[in-house]
Amino acid sequence: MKMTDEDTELEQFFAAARAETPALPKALEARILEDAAMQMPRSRTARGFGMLWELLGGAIGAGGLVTATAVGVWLGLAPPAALPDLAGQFVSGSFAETEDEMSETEALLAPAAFGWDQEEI
Amino acid sequence: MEFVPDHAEGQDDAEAALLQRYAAGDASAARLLTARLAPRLHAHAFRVLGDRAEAEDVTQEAMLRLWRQAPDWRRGEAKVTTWLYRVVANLCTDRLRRRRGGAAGLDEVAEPADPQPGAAQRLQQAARATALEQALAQLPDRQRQAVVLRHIDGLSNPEIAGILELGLEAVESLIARGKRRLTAILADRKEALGYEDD
Repeated sequence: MKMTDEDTELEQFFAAARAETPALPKALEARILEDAAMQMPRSRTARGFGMLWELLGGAIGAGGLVTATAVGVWLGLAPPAALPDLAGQFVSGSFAETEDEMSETEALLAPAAFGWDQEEI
Repeated sequence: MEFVPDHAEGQDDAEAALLQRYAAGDASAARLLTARLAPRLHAHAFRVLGDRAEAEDVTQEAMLRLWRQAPDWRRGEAKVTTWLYRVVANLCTDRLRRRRGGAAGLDEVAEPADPQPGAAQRLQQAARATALEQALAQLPDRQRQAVVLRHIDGLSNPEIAGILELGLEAVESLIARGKRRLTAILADRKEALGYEDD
């Protein structure tokens, strides 16, 4: 399309405006980059860990998991008197006992208590 | 002389690729995107709003939205530049509407930079740029946005239609009316500013 004199004249103003483009202030650039850092999506590894962390229920869930594990280990190593010392029996080699030597608790926990030794008809 | 846009299709692909890198955790991509895009957005916002502080706020907000959008960005659906200009255009429109009734205008247009000794040409260029800023401030908002996008930012009419969410004919009409009005405003100031020397 042929430019008219008016277009040519106006174009000189546009050219001047393009040449006078204001520079990006340094402080603004810094703020933009700060925002970029804040909004930066986490890396894949971090995202995977985060997902696992969320699946475990965050700090509360993981705390409960650690507590439960510690209690389990403690009960295994130093069980209350009412419970059979399975770890101790395993270590001392006296795991295989006769039925006569079973404690009352062990007898209660034995399969017979649940009727599993009933012969099927 | 017709202004040739400096952001071809391939360049926008490069910007989309940078955005993907940012979304994957590459901080250097954020710096590159900021260097490529923020100055243009800032200049556009300043020309439309005529206010440095507001132009800075709009630029920061537009870039913030880009960072937030990065993980969900789908290449091929939109050009990064078009999307960003649309955000800036909408933010500018919101601010202009809020400002309506106020005394926005000539007083807010920046003064030209101090001339260098003996730089007569630079002085005239700065005077022209200032005169254009002042003339642009007198245009209706949409006309101003369309003219700036076309003749200063160098976007194509279809891109502008996408940014302003208008039809192609409406964009052409806005630009034509805007230019006619600018010509009339600037003609009144010719003698005072001595444009007729060249």
